[in-house]
Amino acid sequence: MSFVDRPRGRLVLADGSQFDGYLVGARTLPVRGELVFNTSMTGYQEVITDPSYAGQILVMTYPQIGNYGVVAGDSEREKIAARALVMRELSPFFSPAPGRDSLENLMSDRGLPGLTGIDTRAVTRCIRSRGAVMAAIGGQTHGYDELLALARSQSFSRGESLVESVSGSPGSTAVAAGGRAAVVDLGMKKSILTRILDLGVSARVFDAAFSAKEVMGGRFDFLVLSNGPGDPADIPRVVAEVRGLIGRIPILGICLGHQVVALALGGRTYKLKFGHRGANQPVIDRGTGRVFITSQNHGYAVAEDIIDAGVSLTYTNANDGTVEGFADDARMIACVQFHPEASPGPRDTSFVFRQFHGLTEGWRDVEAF
Amino acid sequence: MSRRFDTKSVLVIGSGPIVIGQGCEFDYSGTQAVRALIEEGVRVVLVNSNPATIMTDPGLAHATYIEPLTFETCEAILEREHVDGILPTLGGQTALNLAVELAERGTLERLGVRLIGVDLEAIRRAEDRSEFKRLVEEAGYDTPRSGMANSVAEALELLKWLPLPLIVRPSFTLGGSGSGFARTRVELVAAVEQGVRRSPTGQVLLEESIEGWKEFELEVMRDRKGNHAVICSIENFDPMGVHTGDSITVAPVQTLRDREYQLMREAAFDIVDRVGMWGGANVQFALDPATGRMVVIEMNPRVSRSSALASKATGYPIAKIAAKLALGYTLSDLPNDVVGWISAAFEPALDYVVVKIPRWNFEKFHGAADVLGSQMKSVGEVMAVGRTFNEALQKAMRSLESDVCDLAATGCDLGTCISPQEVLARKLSRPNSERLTAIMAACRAGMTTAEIHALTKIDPWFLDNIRAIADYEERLRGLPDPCPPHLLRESKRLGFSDRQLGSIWGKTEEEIAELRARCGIHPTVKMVDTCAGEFEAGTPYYYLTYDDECEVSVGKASLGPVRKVVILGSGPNRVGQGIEFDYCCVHAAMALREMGVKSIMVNCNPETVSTDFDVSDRLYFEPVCYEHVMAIIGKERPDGIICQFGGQTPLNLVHRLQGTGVRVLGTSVDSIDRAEDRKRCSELLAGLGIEHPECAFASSREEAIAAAERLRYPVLLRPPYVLGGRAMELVRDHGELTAALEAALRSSGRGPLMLDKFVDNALEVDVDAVSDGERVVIAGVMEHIEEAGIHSGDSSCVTPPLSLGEEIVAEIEETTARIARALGVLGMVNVQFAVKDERIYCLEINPRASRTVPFVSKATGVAWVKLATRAMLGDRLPVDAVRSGARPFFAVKAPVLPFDKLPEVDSILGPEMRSTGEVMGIGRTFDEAFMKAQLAAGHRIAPRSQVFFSVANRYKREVIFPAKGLHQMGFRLVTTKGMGDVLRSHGIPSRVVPKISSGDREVLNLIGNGSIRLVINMAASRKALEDDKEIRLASNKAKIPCITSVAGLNALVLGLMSIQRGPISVQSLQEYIAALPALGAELP
Ligand SMILES: Nc1ncnc2c1ncn2[C@@H]1O[C@H](COP(=O)(O)OP(=O)(O)O)[C@@H](O)[C@H]1O
Ligand SMILES: Nc1ncnc2c1ncn2[C@@H]1O[C@H](COP(=O)(O)OP(=O)(O)O)[C@@H](O)[C@H]1O
Ligand SMILES: [Mg+2]
Ligand SMILES: [Mg+2]
Repeated sequence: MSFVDRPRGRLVLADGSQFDGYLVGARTLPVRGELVFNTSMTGYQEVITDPSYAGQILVMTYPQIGNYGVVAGDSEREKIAARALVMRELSPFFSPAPGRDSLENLMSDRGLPGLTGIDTRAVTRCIRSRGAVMAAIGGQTHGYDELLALARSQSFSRGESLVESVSGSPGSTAVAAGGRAAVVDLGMKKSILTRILDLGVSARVFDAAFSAKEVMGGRFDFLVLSNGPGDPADIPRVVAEVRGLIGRIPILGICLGHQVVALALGGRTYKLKFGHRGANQPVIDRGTGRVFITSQNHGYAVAEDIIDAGVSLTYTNANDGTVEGFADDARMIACVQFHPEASPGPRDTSFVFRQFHGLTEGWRDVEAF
Repeated sequence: MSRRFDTKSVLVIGSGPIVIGQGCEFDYSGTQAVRALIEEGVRVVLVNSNPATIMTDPGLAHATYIEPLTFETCEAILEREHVDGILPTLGGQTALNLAVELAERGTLERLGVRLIGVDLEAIRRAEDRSEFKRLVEEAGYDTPRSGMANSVAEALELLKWLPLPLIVRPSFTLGGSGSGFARTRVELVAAVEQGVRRSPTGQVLLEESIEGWKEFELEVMRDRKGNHAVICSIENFDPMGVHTGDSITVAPVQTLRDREYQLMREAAFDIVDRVGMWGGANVQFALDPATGRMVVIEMNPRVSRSSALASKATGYPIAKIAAKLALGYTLSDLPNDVVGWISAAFEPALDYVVVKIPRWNFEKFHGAADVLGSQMKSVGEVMAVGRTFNEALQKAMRSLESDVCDLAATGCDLGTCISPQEVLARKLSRPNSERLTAIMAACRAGMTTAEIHALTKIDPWFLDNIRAIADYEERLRGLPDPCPPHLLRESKRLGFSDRQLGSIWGKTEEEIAELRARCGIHPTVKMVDTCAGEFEAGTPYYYLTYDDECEVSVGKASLGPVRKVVILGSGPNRVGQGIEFDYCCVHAAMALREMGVKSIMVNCNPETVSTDFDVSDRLYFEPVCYEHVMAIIGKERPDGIICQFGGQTPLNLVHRLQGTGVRVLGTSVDSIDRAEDRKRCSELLAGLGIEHPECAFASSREEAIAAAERLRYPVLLRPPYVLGGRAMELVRDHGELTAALEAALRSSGRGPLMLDKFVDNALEVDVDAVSDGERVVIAGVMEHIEEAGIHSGDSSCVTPPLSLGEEIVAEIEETTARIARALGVLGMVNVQFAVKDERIYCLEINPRASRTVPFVSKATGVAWVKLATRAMLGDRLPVDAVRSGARPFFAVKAPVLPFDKLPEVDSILGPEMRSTGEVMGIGRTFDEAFMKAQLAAGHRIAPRSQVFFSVANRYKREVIFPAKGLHQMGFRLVTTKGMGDVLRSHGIPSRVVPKISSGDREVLNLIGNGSIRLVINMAASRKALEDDKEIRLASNKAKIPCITSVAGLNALVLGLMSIQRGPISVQSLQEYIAALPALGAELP
């Protein structure tokens, strides 16, 4: 059981470097996308089904992927948004258990092409030293020049269409006693919704085409802005709607949601050299000095001058000092760059949901008073 | 607990001698901790009885006590050194237990000393099994169902609701000691009886057996603010039922879904929080693959064996950070050493797979059952790094240097080796040291994964990966010659060695290397950087794999002076080759650094200091075998390679390395050969006019018998090129020879057998010396306590010599110097002599640093390895000092033997080495030094207790005097009739018991129930020895010292007298050394 008998495939970067491997998964080739790497050692299924990877070619730095197969419940979304998956080795076997299937079957079924046998560490080092880069993957019939041209044909994917492509269909969940949440799906991981429902509330999910008016009209107890792909600056409409909601309803922003709130407040975002993607990002709670290990997946970050907008920084990254969260009690805003819903990754910060929920309780009464 | 930045001075407790269950991993952790504390400006006082450690180097801590790790000595040290705190979490269970004793007996309170990192209550919460269970359950996690019993009756009562099989574990013991499985009522009764006796509290825990579940371990750091991080997750290849120390383990976890892993991670944090400690800890879990039920097995509130592994597996310096957290730092205060600008509050991300395989030594312990269970039996371990599990597993397999060198193909064909089917099935279902090869054999024999899983309970993912190796091997066998390049490359990526490929295709290792070179298939170097390449790291920590990108550029040999040197390490610890050699390699690296020469370390033992990446300029975590060493040489192009310090492992490579053009530094390869080849050695000695035992060679039974008759009995039988006297046997007559020959001829294989005339009743002497080719400096002369015939590694010894006359010492030193000059020794040499009737016989020349080098270095206050390294690089020795100077104190080295862990093995000593470690005692008199060594080795003989004598007639006269001494000190003697009569005629009373051969078992009962605390057993012949075997086995079981030589007895009596004269006094090594004469001071 070895992949050496599979058709060969190739990854070509816009800077001209190339890496050879073998093709696995769906054969919808060639593909192109922004090349990014994720350092999680477990949770590949959650990672590849995270809609934030829309438009991207995902490189897993952990070298053996697929060891425990895939299970229906572990996907973050049914549709896979990532363009392709690059691995050192797709494990030819998986540890069996009832209901498990192989990762390769999932890739083939959901249209995710992949490359195995790639020196993923070399690719990662490339990205690290040169910054985010566009790339293309093809099979034996796609020549180097063709793939290079493809990789260079477009700069980074534009956000508006990306978010639209992954923003789910609107819907509501069963009524619950704890209150009502409005959730804007900008490409949301299922686990965010799960964590919200865990609070004992009901939720109505809006897609990216939502309006402030709709939200205000629903008399929700709070609003959650989800994660999603790309550059927040590419979705000015969403930013504008959110601006109209600030101070009128408690808002929890996560990842892209956090960046959107920052822009709505007049802050800035910028592209990181190669992003934070993995399950081991330490963040410091600026209030208590405690450190939490978090799950992250973002290529853009909020600039520190967000404090000029009158918010306080709540979390910063212990490694590079970037903004990981801000809040403003008066305007009922709490935003985090990391993923408190984990899945995959550490659940050290799952309290973020509870904490936020606690803060929102009774705000209407105060307002009424 | 409060902030403790006010801690100005700290006592660090080491872990003592290397024993099964507690290896040299604590030298790694202790050394890192001491350095870390010093970095923080703390005054460090250290106590450890193990001289072979780096941590006890006089230059490391401010005050180093090489003293027994007992309550009394620690108390005495605390009285002298006014420390603020004790750091008990870096010296294994030994240090933790000592700290508990010091706290419980009020010493800490009386002297105003506190424990740092962990307090008494926290230790109790974690170590008391029932309290720990309560804590885990309160936290909402599951544990195996269990009950406590104080007697067999209580245990049987528990069976009502706790069905068999059960695991029985005595409370408060370490390393799984005394624990075992009970599958039947009979087994249960036996296990409970034994357990109740072993436990200091007379209590055992009966626990639901969850054999076959998956086992996991998480290494956690926690600081005073309650921040934590998992540094490494480890999955056991061998499921529950095999001690983690005896399990093949893999990092990071391979077969857990993220959800399952995160649950474990959270549980680990929760438990560590509830126990409460600052530093490193580990938590063990089991998971039932059928139901998903997860249970907590145990937690160690300290740095452990697995922490060393985790540290090497990730590059995260666990012990260093743990020491700083104990001082009160938080994780975010500290930087990650690997990526300087990121914080230590970080969970390493790996982009490789790490496999650890334990190293057992069953072949040395006749009678030991090769069955693995909840008690550890391995003596060492190897770790390998690869990009896939298959690759790492195969690399680990060859790092072991065991007889079966590779997982596939090489040497013996496992498919035929382990058969028939029933044997195979047994090898699979009963965990044992050869299970991995049995799995391979089963795959070849066509067993399905499901079948193998049913027998082993090993996760199918692992089994399938082994099957992939077997299948690929099969495929390679059927390929045309030469193999298509892409398939050859794939074989390397699966971890096949050139040697394996050679044996598949009937080619030599070199031919395969050439074939690879022609296809352009070369190993690539990758870095271990804690962050999977996310950040740029400066760690000079590498491994080899087959990938696209190589992270080091090919080096250039300097044409001028030596600028860059490779040091080959000693591989896994095993009996005969242990931590001493790691000490030597580390010192060599330190010497090179001082000389401004770049050092490149190659080793595969995760327990060591040498594999700390800041010890050398570059570390390659790789098997110390030809292919890998050549690959490293090819990348680095060093100016030279040092093979003298890693024991026999690198020395065995010199011939082949020499042929490849790399410069072997130090003694020439030809001289090494002249010393090692017994024929050439004998010619050399004859040429120099040095007496040596006559020897002969034999390739067959008949030749051997003829040779023995010519040499005249007794003779010593030895296979060629061995270390640690493997399979050596002393035979006293024709009958014994024929009995021994069969096994010897089987184990030889690599050349003819050798027979030496045995020098009977001789004193043995070890000499270590350094030479620059002309000048020679004698490092030390060590007189053995036990007579020649007991392996030098198993014999106690004293330096300076005690009973040898001045002229004999001079002759020994002169002779050593002549040998060194004749061989043109560059670096170190060790010569062993037997002294009989004022004549000296040279027994052996070891053209390398020996096991005793660290001991001698500490006894003389001279860093001999550094001197030797300088000599090897061309420096002249500062003096020509053939005579070693007088010293105002004695240093005694005593071996530590593993018979308490292997109670079914006969403890009689012989020319085959069996000790796992050693201790040192220093004193102003021999008696004091000897007694300290005995205490350090764990021999505590309660005053006025009973001593049993079973002594053959020929020794009776010699034991009268020591027996009298014991009597006068208040010991009560127990003897058999003959000895009783002899003693009575000398006015010494004794209690007479019947001989065991009469069928009466009274003595065995007295030993078994602890009434007898010391056994003296000297037999005249092999046959008589056999008869007494039961006595020795009973003493092993009861953990009672058994003295088998007159010399040993005499020394012990002197020692006992010395403690009767007054309490043991302690003094630091630095104080001892300061009192040494100028010679030591002149040298570096
Ligand atoms: N309930 C159990 N059933 C089966 N095996 C067990 C059980 N508890 C422990 N073991 C086995 O015994 C080994 C040693 O137990 P552990 O509690 O870790 O003690 P130690 O202090 O010696 O490390 C474990 O690694 C595990 O393989
Ligand atoms: N000819 C001999 N006469 C007496 N004892 C011997 C003789 N040769 C070896 N021995 C004993 O056997 C032990 C091991 O032999 P040695 O040659 O040193 O092997 P190793 O290479 O294992 O150190 C020695 O330490 C010594 O006690
Ligand atoms: Mg354990
Ligand atoms: Mg020897």
